[in-house]
Amino acid sequence: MMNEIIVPSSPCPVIIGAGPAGINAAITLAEQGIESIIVDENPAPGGAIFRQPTKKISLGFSPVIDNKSRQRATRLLENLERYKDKITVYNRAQVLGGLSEGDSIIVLHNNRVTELHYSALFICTGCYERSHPFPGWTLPGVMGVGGMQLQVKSNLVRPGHRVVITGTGPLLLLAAKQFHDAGMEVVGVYEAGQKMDLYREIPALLADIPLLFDGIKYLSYLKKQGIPVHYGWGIVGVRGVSEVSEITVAPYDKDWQPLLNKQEVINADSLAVNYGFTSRTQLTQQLGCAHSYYHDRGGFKPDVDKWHRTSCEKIYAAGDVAGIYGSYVAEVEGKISAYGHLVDLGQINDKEANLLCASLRNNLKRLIKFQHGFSKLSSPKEGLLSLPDKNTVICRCENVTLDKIDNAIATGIGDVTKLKMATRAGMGDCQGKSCGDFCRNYLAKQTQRSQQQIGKLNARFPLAPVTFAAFAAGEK
Amino acid sequence: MLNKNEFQTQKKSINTITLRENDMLYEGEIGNRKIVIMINDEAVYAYQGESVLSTLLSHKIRGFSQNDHGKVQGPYCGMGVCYCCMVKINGINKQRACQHSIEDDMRIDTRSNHFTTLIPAFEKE
Repeated sequence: MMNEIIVPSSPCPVIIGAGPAGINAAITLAEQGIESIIVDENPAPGGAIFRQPTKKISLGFSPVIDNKSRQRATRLLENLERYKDKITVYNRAQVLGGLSEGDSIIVLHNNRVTELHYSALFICTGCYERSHPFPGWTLPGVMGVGGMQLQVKSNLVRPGHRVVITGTGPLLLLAAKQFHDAGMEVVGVYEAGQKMDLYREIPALLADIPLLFDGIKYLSYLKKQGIPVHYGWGIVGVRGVSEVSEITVAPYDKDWQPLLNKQEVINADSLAVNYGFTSRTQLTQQLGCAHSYYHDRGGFKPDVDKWHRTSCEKIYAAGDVAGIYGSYVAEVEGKISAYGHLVDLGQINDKEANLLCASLRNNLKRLIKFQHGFSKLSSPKEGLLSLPDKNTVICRCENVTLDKIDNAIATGIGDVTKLKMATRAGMGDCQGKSCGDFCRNYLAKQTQRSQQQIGKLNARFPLAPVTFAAFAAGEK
Repeated sequence: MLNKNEFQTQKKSINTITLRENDMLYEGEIGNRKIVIMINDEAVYAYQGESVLSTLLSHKIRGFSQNDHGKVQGPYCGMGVCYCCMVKINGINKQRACQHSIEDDMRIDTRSNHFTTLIPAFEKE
């Protein structure tokens, strides 16, 4: 691994994020002889989906990972390795922001800040789990489903012993299987979507039989292991002294409002929760790309054309950042964005590019149809906004409780930026990645204003906390 | 915090086998070097290269972070987004446990935050 970022003599394409989209973009460019740089903040390439194990074990992969994922990860990383003379990967490198007029980004790597000029910028930053605050969600023991998964699949450590899984979407079933395989006791899966809604989406889900089959496989595995899956149920709150000890769940109505008279209390030490994802758009926002609001597809996302160009010159966005459709779509979109860049360079013309991408696009259509089935089922409903009580912390970094937000709304605040100024919600270390979605949706509901009027929390430079020393080190 | 000599002494004095209760595999199945690091000046086992978060979780340490307002938190997103798992690593505050890997002679201090130690009045608004 390289300790210092070596700035190339002339700018080359720079790709942000070493997940399925970013790696495929780099490989497609490399196939055409174009060198590129990948900047990724994780210890190793692969992204959250193909996170490599941090432990050397004879299997090579964590025992909880199925063969299919193993093969996909191996293929992707082997391809990356094959082009290592064309693709430079910087891991543990965080992008602090960019200067779209100067065609450069500022990268923090090894406590040193470096300015990296690009000839094209591919933003493949993916997504993260959307937070929905509820009483007790800041207690140690409550984690995102994906976060817990990384512990068992990459680090081979159990994040807890007795776990309850709540949320929505196919990830819950996979996680339940993996947690069980890891030796954790899975009390149950509480899926907010109704079973009837799932049946209604079967035509869409039939668009991808192998993926549908995966889901059925997980379900029958859970049944065999005696792990119940409850549809139309969800989280109410969590209690405990210093850590989680009691988890309350209840049936949800069609708006996902919990029916409190039917609530049940479960003794468990861990809660894995995932009510959907949000595109990681801080960089596309900071660079000034145009965004639109899509409720069921993770809130705001950058506008892209069919070659994944954003509204900013030389900037492309591919993968979950440009709409949450999962890793299969991300792989295809990464390739398409690279072909788009080849068109812009004049290396191939539009017609050739269309020909090269024809089968990719056919594939994409099928995958997206499948994902739309789930998005209808799993798009978060308004009832979730009623979960927190007035003492529930909404902004974890700045300890802003719901009553402070209510007080601010009572003074007439009608957009999320003013709310941040008044309450400090979204001003802390994570820059609103945890509370931003709730604040926006809650404000929209309470004030009856549109998402456009509410706006989004503007991402500002630096996108991650950085010391003055790191800037000073970069000057030398 | 321990100075370097104290660190070495403390490191040698580790006799009690601290079980890593939450490891999914047995010791023999893991090829990483098993090393001793310091968590809050106490010697514990860790595997070189695993994430700091995993070391903490393997020793059943979960409420290890403290935000700028003195509130104790645990890991939440587990993938570098939420900044809820920040600890002091080798004397530097606000390092995300989930994004750092274990290295030799690493010193980790939990519930450390320069805001709340330097400005105790900050919290008591």
